[in-house]
Amino acid sequence: MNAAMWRTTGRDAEKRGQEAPDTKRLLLVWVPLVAVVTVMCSVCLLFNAPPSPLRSALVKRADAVFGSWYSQSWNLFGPQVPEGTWEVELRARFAHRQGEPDTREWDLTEETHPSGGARLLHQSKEGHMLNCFVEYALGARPGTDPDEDTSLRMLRTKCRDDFVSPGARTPSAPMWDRYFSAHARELARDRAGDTRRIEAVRVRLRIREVPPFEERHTGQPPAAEPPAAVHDMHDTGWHAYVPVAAR
Amino acid sequence: MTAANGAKGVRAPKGARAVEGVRAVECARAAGGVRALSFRFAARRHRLVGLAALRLVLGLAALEFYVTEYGRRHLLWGPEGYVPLDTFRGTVPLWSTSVYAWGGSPAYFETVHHLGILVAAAFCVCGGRALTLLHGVFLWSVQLRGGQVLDHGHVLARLLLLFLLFATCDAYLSPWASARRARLRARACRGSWNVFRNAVHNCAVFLMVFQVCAVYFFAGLWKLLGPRWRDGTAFYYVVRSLEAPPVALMTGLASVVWITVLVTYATVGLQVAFPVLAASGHRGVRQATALGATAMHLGIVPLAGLLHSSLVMIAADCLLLRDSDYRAAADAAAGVTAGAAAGAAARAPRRFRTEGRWAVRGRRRSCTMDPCPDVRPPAAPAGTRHPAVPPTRRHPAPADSPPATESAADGSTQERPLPPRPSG
Repeated sequence: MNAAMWRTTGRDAEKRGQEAPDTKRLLLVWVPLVAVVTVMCSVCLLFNAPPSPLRSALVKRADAVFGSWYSQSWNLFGPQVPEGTWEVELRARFAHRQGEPDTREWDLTEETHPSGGARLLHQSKEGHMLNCFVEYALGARPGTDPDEDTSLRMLRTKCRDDFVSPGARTPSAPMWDRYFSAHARELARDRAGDTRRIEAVRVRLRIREVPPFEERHTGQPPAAEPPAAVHDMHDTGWHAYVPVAAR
Repeated sequence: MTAANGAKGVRAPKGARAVEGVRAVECARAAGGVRALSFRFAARRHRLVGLAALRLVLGLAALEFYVTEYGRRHLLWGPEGYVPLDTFRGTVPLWSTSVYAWGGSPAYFETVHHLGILVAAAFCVCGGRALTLLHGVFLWSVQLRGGQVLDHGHVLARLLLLFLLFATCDAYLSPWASARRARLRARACRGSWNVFRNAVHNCAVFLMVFQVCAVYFFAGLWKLLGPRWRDGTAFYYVVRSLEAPPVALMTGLASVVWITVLVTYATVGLQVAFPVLAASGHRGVRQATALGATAMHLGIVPLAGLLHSSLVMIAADCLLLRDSDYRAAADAAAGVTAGAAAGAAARAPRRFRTEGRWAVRGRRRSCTMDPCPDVRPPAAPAGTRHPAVPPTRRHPAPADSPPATESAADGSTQERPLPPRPSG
């Protein structure tokens, strides 16, 4: 067994006066492997390289082949960390009752994320989808620079970039109507026992700022913290309810 | 020796001959190094234990992805869900590569989805190339179908599965692991085709480790550019900005200055230094790095709710350790067990104590993970020490002394006591 193995490397064969290993055969083994490894490592480094004209030019060529595998950015929580908590408020408008509009509203952020110990074992895909909407909504704000880094890479990478890219925002819009309609129907029926027909849904996105670290450590107890500032970031307006057959 | 200019019959000056001699030695060393590296990559398959652990945890992550939203599968991936099949076909590139897009009936969706779950479970338990390929196809399909519900682990999982196709991942932690290892051992030294397969396996492992190191390094590098990471307060903002801090204690901990600063800097330091630490020659450094990275991702689970992503990263961390590292850890664990057993046996008669100790040592030594344990790499050129040959003795042994390890008839090795250290 030893001799056979040594013969593959050649050293023992030389010692024993036998024929040395065929260099061509070794090249046939190693050249393609080294070439593949080099290409894969280069592509990995290219997709992760900092922005530059050279990177942009090369990525355009490589994206068609390797984009599905390497296009994710790995700047998780960096360079900027989110300094606010997102709140998504879902409002449903029911069919008129005696001519008066009737609405209900829910904090969808709390509804879609498991709380407490359930979070350890259950990762909410609905919550991920809501985070995807947050990124979509931030990019869809009027006047937003399409290349603006909203410092929410953790959110962006929860859905494919093409769902929040400028070119895909219009085709994605009906998906969000279905998503919010399904949740409105479910929350109204399961949580409130309200089975009336829903006419329209509306979503508002707000950000509640985290108290700055310096202010948080002024010696005051947490209860003495000033109320956090809340900013309205996006409002979809009323959209017609779209029933989801899968529901 | 001819002159450096190549003219035959002209003797070079003494200094030139010396330089040429030095160059020849350097070339011989380089050739020896290349040959040793080639041997290391082709002689046997590396990181079999790590690959098995990676397969197991990656399979668990996939099962988590499928099972935790089992009740809502129609909404998330079904033909009439949030993204109807027609919309999916019309908007998503490469839609035809998803198995979910090949049929529009609910029965077809149910069949495909449940097949995906079954294949993921089989991949997790058994491994093997066929199951890896099948699992990769189903995972790609479901990820493409529901591109809004992914997390950071999905791309890495895809890449690892792609490379795993070319590696052996069922040599451990599998129902037929021992048979697989026996097959590997039997053909480990048979022909150049097997050398090629070993080389492909090891290249795949190298690419996986490279990818994991790139993920850590670039994640750390981007953090270094952020002001909150540089001033050491990022941990506080990350915890406070979560939608619903899961553990109240975590929020309190993030408000303690030294804990916030320590966790922030430790995270950046670990990520930036990860490639160097992973390539360290010290086993303890590698083990500490793997433990630190695993602990970091275990902490992310309750913090950010990224269970799937954390599992994928923990799976990747498993690949960081070499087989010898796992063996050392197993030895340490066995030592602890043996210590406990020795404590219990201390109350037993003396003759049982010795028998018990030898039984433990014999069992530990027979647990070899080398598929071809009796093969040694070629000798290094004169003047160099082969890195792959660990020193088996701390001091020269007498010529008539037995070897430190001796191959048994069944291929296992048993330890013999070392001779006494020579005085002086």
